[in-house]
Amino acid sequence: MSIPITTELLDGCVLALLTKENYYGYALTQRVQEFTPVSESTMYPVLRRLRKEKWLDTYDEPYQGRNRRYYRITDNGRTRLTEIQADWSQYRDTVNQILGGTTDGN
Amino acid sequence: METNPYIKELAKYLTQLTKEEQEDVLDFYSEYILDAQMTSEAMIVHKLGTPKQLSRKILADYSIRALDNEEAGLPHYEPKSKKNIRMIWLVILALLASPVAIPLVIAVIAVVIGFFIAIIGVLIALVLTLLGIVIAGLAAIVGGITVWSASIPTSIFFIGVGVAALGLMLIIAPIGYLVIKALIQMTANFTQWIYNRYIKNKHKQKNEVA
Repeated sequence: MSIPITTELLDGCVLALLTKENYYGYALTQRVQEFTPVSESTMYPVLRRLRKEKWLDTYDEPYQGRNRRYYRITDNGRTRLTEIQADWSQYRDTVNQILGGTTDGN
Repeated sequence: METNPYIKELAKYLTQLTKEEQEDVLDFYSEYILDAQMTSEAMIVHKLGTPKQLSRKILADYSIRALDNEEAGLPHYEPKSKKNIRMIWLVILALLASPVAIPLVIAVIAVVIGFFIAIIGVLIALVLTLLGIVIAGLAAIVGGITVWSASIPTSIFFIGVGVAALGLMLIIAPIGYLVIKALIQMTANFTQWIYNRYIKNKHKQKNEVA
């Protein structure tokens, strides 16, 4: 996939993943890298920003004598996710029309 | 956890962040390294870059975020132009640390240096102009006073010219100050644009190949 992902979409994807389960940093990065080529050093700023916006919060869980920091979506985060989903579906429909792609999703 | 030499070295480059921010960054990356089972320094460097490169990305990111916050009207603790200059500097460092083509880096640095020379040039011109006006003004006033006994109208004329010159200076000074500030702001915007355009994207492209 050669189309770079925007900040807003990346935010949305991270939030969407977190609605299914809580992830720790490395596992979340792996999941995101499955669909878009973000670098290992991109995820920290993203997570930090999302937490600052209070769209997610964190908690620590012991793992093999150390702590793992888990990320969990907040109610604000769910609201934000809905907004991003709406933006995306509008954008996708417009691009599909212009590119002559499928007209499904209607 | 902080026994990892990579993390220790990274910590050395992050001292300008607050204690809390430093801890947060270091926790994140030490956990990441353990979870990714990067056992050797070489593996870590392959994925994250050298501690110095990673620290530059982190700092540039903090700096740009801080600038965004400021524009959003949040409180700030240092003059904006000072912050801008620091941000420009950090982005240049981040560019040098990233695998962008060297000619581009040179071009960008040349443009930024060009802006700085322009700023310094304007500054010098302004200072000299003001100095000239002040000296001329004072000379006119002194001259006016010395001819007081000979001709009062001439004397008043010269004193008036002198006072007008000093007044003019008070008008020009703030304008010059604004021009310099605007130039710094332009350089900062340009640098930020370069950062968004090249460092972020380059990174994604590089990863894609890997």
